[in-house]
Amino acid sequence: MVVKARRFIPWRTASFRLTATVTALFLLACLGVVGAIYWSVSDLLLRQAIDDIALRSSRLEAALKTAAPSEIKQTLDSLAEARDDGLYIVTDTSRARVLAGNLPNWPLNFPTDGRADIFEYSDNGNPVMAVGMASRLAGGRILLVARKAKAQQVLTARMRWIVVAGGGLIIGLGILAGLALGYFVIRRIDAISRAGDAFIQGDLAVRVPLSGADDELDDLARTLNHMLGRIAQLMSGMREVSDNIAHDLKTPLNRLRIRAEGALDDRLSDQARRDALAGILAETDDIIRTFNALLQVARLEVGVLDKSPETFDLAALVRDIAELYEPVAEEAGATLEVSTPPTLCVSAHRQLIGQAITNLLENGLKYGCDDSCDRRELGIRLVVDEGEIAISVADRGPGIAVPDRQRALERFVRLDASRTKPGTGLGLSLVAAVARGHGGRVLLLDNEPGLVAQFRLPASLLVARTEPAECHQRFEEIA
Amino acid sequence: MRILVIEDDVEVAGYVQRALNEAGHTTDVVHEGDGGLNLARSGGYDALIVDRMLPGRDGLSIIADLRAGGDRTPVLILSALGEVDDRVVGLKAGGDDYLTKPFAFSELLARIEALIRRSQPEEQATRYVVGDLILDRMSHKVTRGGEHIVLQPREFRLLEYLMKHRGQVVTRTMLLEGVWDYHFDPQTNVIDVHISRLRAKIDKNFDTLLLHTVRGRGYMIDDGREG
Repeated sequence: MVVKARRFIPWRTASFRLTATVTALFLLACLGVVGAIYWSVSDLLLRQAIDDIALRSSRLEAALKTAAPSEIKQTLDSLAEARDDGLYIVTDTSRARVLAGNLPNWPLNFPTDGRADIFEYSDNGNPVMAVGMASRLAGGRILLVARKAKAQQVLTARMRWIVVAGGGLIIGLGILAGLALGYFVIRRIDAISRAGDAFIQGDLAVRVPLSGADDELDDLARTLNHMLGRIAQLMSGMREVSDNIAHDLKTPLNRLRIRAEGALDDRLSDQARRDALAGILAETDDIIRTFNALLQVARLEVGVLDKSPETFDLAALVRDIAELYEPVAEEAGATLEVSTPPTLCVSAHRQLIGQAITNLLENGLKYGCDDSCDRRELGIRLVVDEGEIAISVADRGPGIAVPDRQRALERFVRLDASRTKPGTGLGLSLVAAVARGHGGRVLLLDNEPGLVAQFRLPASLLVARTEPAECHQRFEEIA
Repeated sequence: MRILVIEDDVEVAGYVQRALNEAGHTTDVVHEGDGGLNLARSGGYDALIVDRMLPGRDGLSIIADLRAGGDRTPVLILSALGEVDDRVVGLKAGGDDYLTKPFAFSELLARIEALIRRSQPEEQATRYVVGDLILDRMSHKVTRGGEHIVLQPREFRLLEYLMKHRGQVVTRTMLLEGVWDYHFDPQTNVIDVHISRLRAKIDKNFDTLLLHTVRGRGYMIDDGREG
């Protein structure tokens, strides 16, 4: 399946949607703040205006309490002359007839009981807000002293402007940020998709480019690259395996077939037929052994080691295996020197580690000496050094030339020198797979002369022994 | 002995049946899981050979069912799955032994006979006797014809295992598992070397050889008389 490169449709990008949401929330928050400021400033202004009005009102009331209508009119006219923000009106009890003042009429529904209040009146057609307070004069006349609430009006207008302009600015910037973010993120995700496509098309070497920003997208790219690398490694491993199976299994299968054909020959004596069948059986066992080893390496490489490690004494295991092989070495005319700490408690897969050590020892026995070597010595050592657990098997054989060492760990690789000896070519690769499965590695070093094969496991496998019983040598009773 | 074989591969099952019959056992064969469980429940078998992957009901659940019902008949599991973990799972489910396919028939026969023997009561012997060879499990002393034989601890365990299965063939793999607890296959003849050392200690200088090599199968300790 090929994924098409993503077209840049702004509102369909995750970053745009994210930015839009953030912008909307931010806008709401801003409106809230602006609203609160507006409300509190406006309230403050109103209180000031009311205080002021109360003062003016009480003064004028005192001056006009008992004044004659003509006197009232004269005073109010002169006050109106000042053309400041003051507004005045005196009406009769019914508030219908205006006696004096610069307000055209009594504001609708304005309370007459001396409470301060806001009202709106029309000044040459423009609505004007004002704050006022009514009081009673002699003869049932009512006086209203008021002032224009200009500051409040200006404030409201400005606030409206701020809300519109600021909101617009926030939305505009939000959209821009969303577009930019979307564009850049999409470009980088596109790069990832393209790399993935190329990989699917068969270019196993392709990797996702890193932007260098070291951000989470780079983290993602690194993870993907790691994954691609692993897939490429597994695929090439598989290809290599199938090539090698073709060679290493087909050859013995072919021999098997030839032998079976030979066994069918009517002219064979009973003894010869029996021998032929025994040969077939032995050949089959070899094939099965190769097959098992192959399966095991393959399963180890896909990583099935997470399950059920056990706690055991690695030192005891090494001594045990050395003891198992000591007579074999002796028969082959070699000495086997063992050196381990008294105990080394680890949590790992005992059977697999045991098999790895066995393979190393068998290799040492098999290749550790050719006819030319003068000392036939094998050594197995278990130490903890440089933060790793190291099991070394050393021999005095011809060793492995430096350029061949990496290859010797690969599956089925049998260095030319060993082609003539029996074996599957899987021994060391199994050791390497077991080591990798435990987070360790295998090193092939020079023993001057000879080879040191080192099986190294991370120290994290060590178990701090709390109770001696936890790390006992299992299987004390014979089943 | 009566043995029930639950194995879906008709050819393998037939081969196992013929060979077990030839070895003197009475063998019934079932090719699928549910029928196998019913027959096993009806009882009367000395051992069961159960394939792990079966049509109908898998081998492990058959064993788990039998064990849940208190049936202790020894079970040998056959399986194409041979990894360490698979083995552990098989034995945890109640199997007594585990054999990976493909297997040699001699291995199967040796193991099933060992299982049958193991389930019999004369087990808790404190000493094993074969001819004039005596192994005392308490004092860890071995004598032959009254003569004390000095053995290394591992040689003692090897001899103990062989004598416990006296008169029966034990394979190299069984020895590796039973004496060393290794469930993997060394390529070299390690076991042979250990056996020949043991043989040098117990059979050398004696007229009757007790430790026999059974060609193509394994080893057996026996004084040649029945019982």
